[in-house]
Amino acid sequence: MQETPIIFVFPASPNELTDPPGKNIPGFGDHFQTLLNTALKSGLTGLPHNFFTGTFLTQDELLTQFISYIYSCAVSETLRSNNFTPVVSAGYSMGIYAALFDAGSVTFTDGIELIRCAYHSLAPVSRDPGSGMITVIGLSRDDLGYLIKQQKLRCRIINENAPFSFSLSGRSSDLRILADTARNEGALHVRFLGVSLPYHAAFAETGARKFMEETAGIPFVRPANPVISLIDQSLLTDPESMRAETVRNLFTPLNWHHTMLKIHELHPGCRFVECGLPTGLPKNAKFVAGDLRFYSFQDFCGNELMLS
Amino acid sequence: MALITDKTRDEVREIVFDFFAEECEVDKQTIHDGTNIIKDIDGDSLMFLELIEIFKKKYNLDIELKVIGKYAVKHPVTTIGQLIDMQMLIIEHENHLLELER
Repeated sequence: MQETPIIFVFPASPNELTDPPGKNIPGFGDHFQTLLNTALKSGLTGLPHNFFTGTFLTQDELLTQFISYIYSCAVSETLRSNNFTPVVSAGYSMGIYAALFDAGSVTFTDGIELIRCAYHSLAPVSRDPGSGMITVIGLSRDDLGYLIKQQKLRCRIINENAPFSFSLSGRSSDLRILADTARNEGALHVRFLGVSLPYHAAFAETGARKFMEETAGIPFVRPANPVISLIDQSLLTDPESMRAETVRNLFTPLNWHHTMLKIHELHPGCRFVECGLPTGLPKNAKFVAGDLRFYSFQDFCGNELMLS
Repeated sequence: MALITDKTRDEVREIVFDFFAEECEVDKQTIHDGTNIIKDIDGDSLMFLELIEIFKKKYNLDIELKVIGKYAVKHPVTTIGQLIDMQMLIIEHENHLLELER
């Protein structure tokens, strides 16, 4: 029984994962396997056969995105088949494609094609001299902006996850300099993300234009529920705005912190569910004012669901 | 500058032990001052941050995270005992923490 508004949040890919959760959740394994088979039939190769056993290391960036997408779509199908529907959904970073699938705006295989196009469109403009992303916790936006400007670094803040928690994209060598200086300036946590592209930064705009051209033939339909933009917190409710969001999502900074607050303002008391492989979104929410109720898929099922 | 009493120290200790027992899913009885936060119980810097937030709220502390970060660069914390000592200093000195260096 759905008592309070539920928000589906589709995460980006994890850096590394041991023993992916979910295999014990009734119905989830079947949904996952069916979608995996569909992906294989669509020509996707390199997917792991023993996904739910042992250590799942995310060495291949694109493959990781595909697996994360399939996993998130299986979560979506599991929840919806148990009559849980979101009042709003959100796609965190590259999680946008699973959010589009969940809302019924694109088909499962078109979601795979969007991911493939995004990666290959951005890659040529990002490989030389090498790009990446980091997260920095403990400094303010102004502190980070000052360090970037002072050292003339080719990197930008591309997401505010919580107060004093930021993601940055840019040239790898400059990100390493920033990481070192940020630690010296008092950053309590600095981590490199397992990506080689400068997602959500203006450096990716040329690639995003290419993505727009290459995906022009993919049909988008009206979503079953609003999907919130992480860029400006607007509610996307029509196919055109959904399509436009997939383009600007590639080269425009996000603000996940403001997005959570906006959703909470629209739906007080709502429950957020991380609909995908664990990436720490529930833990991140602990640093946001308002006592947000944010669950992993595993915990949500354990605490709230009576799956048949 | 807060006055640190035995009660405060006991409270901080209790909160730290309870926090790590829950977050790291270990028996509270197995945690002691010499427990290495990363090697022994698989803790991380995000947990440290979370703990700081808990103490900021509980004691209404006026301290910037970067002040703690700068102090931690010179005084790295690896064990539960060291972390409790640092939390006590944070509660006592707040944004004046770095003045201890002078």
